[in-house]
Order: sequence, then C-alpha cells, then structure tokens
Amino acid sequence: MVVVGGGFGGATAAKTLRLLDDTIRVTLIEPKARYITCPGSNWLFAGLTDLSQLSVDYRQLQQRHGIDIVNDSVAAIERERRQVVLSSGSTLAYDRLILAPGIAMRWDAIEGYDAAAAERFPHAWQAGPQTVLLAEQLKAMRPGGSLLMVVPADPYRCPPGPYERASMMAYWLKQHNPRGKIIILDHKRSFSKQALFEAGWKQYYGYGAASSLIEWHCLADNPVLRFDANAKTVVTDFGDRFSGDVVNIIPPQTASALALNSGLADASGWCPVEALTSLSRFDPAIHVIGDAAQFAPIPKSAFAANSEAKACAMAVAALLAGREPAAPTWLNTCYSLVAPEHGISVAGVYALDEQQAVAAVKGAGGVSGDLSVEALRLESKFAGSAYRRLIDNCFS
Amino acid sequence: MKVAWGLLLCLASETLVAESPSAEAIALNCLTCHAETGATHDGAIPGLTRFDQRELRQMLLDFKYGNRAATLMPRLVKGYSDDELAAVARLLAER
Repeated sequence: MVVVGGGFGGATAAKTLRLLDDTIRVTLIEPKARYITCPGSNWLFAGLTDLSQLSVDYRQLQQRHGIDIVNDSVAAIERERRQVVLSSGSTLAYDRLILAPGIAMRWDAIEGYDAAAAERFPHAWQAGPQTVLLAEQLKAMRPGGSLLMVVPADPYRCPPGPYERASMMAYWLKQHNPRGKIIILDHKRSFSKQALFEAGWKQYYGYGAASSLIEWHCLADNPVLRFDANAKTVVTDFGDRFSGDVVNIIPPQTASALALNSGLADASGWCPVEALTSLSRFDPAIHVIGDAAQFAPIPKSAFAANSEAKACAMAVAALLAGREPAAPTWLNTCYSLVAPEHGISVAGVYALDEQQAVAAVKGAGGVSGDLSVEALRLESKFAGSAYRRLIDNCFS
Repeated sequence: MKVAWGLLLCLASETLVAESPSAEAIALNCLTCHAETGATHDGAIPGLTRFDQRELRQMLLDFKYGNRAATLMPRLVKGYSDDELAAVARLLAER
C-alpha cells in the first residue's frame, strides 16, 4: 500500500491500515519533514499559539507503527503501471494507492491574485509562513485601519475557518487597535455556525454597530473579479471597489495539482469517489480521501479527513483480504474559538443512504445548543483538547 | 418476501442507513477525541479506561435520550441505534 500525502487524512490512513493488519506494508510519501496544521492556526492571530506548537513530524508513525516514510513529492501517478514516480526520479509500485493530497488554490479565479501576489497578500489557507506574515501585517496595521478578507463560495477547506479567523483577529484588534476593522467579503449567502458567530461577535466585538470590529458583506451575486495589488483593492462584477490596509484573499480551491494532472478530478475540480470504499470513480486501484475528495455533505475538515481515512482503511483491509467492505460511519466535529474563553462547535454523523451515497444521519449533529457562559467556556477548553487529541490520533 | 422487505425498510428507517456500521468502525471514531487512558482534568476530554461496559452503555443511552447533559456527545450518539451504542460500549470496555 502506498499513501500519498502526510496531512490528517494520509497519516490516519497509513496508521489505521497498520493497526488493522500489521502484515500490510505501508509507505507514506510526504515531501515535508514537518507538517504545520491548519486546525489551530487561526489561534495564532490572537497570540494563543505559534508555528512550533502547530508542527508535527512523522517519527512516531515510523517508529511506533512501522510505516515507511518517504520524504519526497510525487511527480506523477502512472495509473496503467500502478506506480508513482517521485520527484527524485525513482518509482514506487502499488497494489492500491490512497491519495490524500489536499487542496490547490485556483489562481485563475481572481485576476491579479496569483501565487506571486499571495506572497505579499497571503491567503494563509495552508498553514505556515503565510500565517505568520498575515499576523504580522495585522499587527502592523495603522490605527483605525481595515483588513479585507475575501471568502470563497462552497466547497472549500474548513467552512467555519474564515469566521474563526475574523474572531481571532478582532480579539487582537480589540486590545491593540480598537478602531480597526475586519471586513469580510463573502461569496456565500450564509455560513457555518453563523448565528453562533454573530452572537459572539455582538458580545465581544460590537457586531452590528458602526464601530464594530467585524463587518460581513454578502457578495454572492456580485463576485470579486479582480485584485489591484498596488491599490490594495478588490473590484467586483458590478464595479464596486473595496480597499484595505491589509488584504487576505482566500481563493476558491480544487483538489491538488497531482489529483488534477492524474485525471482523478471531474469538472468541479474535486475527486468523485464511491463512498463505500472511497475508490476513485476513475480508477479501481486508487482511493481518494480528505479535502481533495467529494464526500459532501461531509465538510472538508481535518476531523472529517481523519474519519474518512479510517473508513477507507477498513475498506482497503477488507478488499485486500478478499472480503466485502462493511458499512462505513463518518463523524465530523469542528470547534471554533470566538474568543479565548468562548468556543462553539458543529458536528455531524454520516452514513450511506439507500443509493449508497453519503448522507447526514437525521436527528444527529448540529451546532452547540447550550449557550451558557459555562458551556461556552467548556467548549473553548474542548477546542484545545480536541485539537491535541486529533494530532495524537493522526500522527502518533 | 414482502415481510422481509418490510422488516428491512423498518430497520433502515431509523437512521436512513442501508446497513449498520460495525462497532469497530464506530469505536475508531470515538478514539479520535477520547484517549484510552483514565487521566482527566478540567477542560480535557475524558478518557475511556475508567468506565466499564455497563457504565459506558448507560452513559451513551443517557446522552441519546436527554438524561445526561453534555456539550457535544448528545449530538453524536443520536446518529446511532441503541444496539450500535451497546456494541461500541462492549468493544471499548474490552480494549
């Protein structure tokens, strides 16, 4: 078995395969020696964490679970030969491949916002140096300045992420730049945990008042088409112009370039799969999991990638043993911090329906119900605790 | 034959699932957040080893039927049948 991608999905798939059957030889291909997690990275904007606390490595997967770690990137998948070609030039054959390659930014979506522009105006949607740069830009913003955040339409990685980011930035502004402002330009009409975020924003950040630290504008019918870097201005379809002292554009996304180049994505840019086995609709030997795969209505989250990886590993172990794959179950839980002591969550339980498609189990899941101070404080603690457990469960 | 299909539909209607997931499949997801240790402190997600099978099963059912308050668990366990919860309690207690 070869697993490509050492994020939450790939790491969990490799580990779970070994836990289910330690006779399965598993190789995990990941170019980075250390992985910086997107979950938790918004907390950096409020000064609650730093990159070293968000970093994990692969030593435990190697030492405790006997997974072969190959520090290289995949240049191509030769599907007919069932082998991957590494950037170093060597090849690796597989019986089955689990692909967990994550996302790519769509640089064609907003004219003027490309990979080069993102070095100066970070999206910070793949945690790392860009996250630190964006935090520095926020902290250097002039008194009373504004930060523009452009948020894409669904689907994209981490649906509640932009709003937690705005919360954490507003928390910092409240203490250090109280006349500053976060202006969210959203390509959706509504967003994840909206009522809970807005109630929290009202409580802490003056949301709804003219002096609010956060403003939210829906641009679903008037999308951002162009970015003028020199003017730090975005221009919409109707010609409206929005300027900021700091600009954080989160572009629309697709599955990673490797998935696209290997012919595993459809016109949507994401990889369709048979939910029961997570097998690609385009290749009977390749399973696709995590953000790159279409598991809607399961959101693209690290927690969901972990759950998809477990279901995938169980299906693969069954297929390798010549058994029928059993019914999967998937969970998702996403915590967001509105303030350091104010956490909210959304959860979902998913199963196959009669058409063998993924469906949310009715009556289960939903957002935080108890909005007492004590419950919200407890959920903020659970946010940190669930993060550390998730890291542990995926990487050690 | 008609009776058998009726029974199947009846079983499926509770969760709209064609087939029940195994206790192992469910348990793997419990262990994402809940460690297989007993250690706990304020704000930590409780570990599982300090509970026996009967306690685990009762807790899961109490979450499901509103007899025990918690921030998250009631939302998750409502996704599973009582039999599935009993099976996962047994498996987790055995580990």
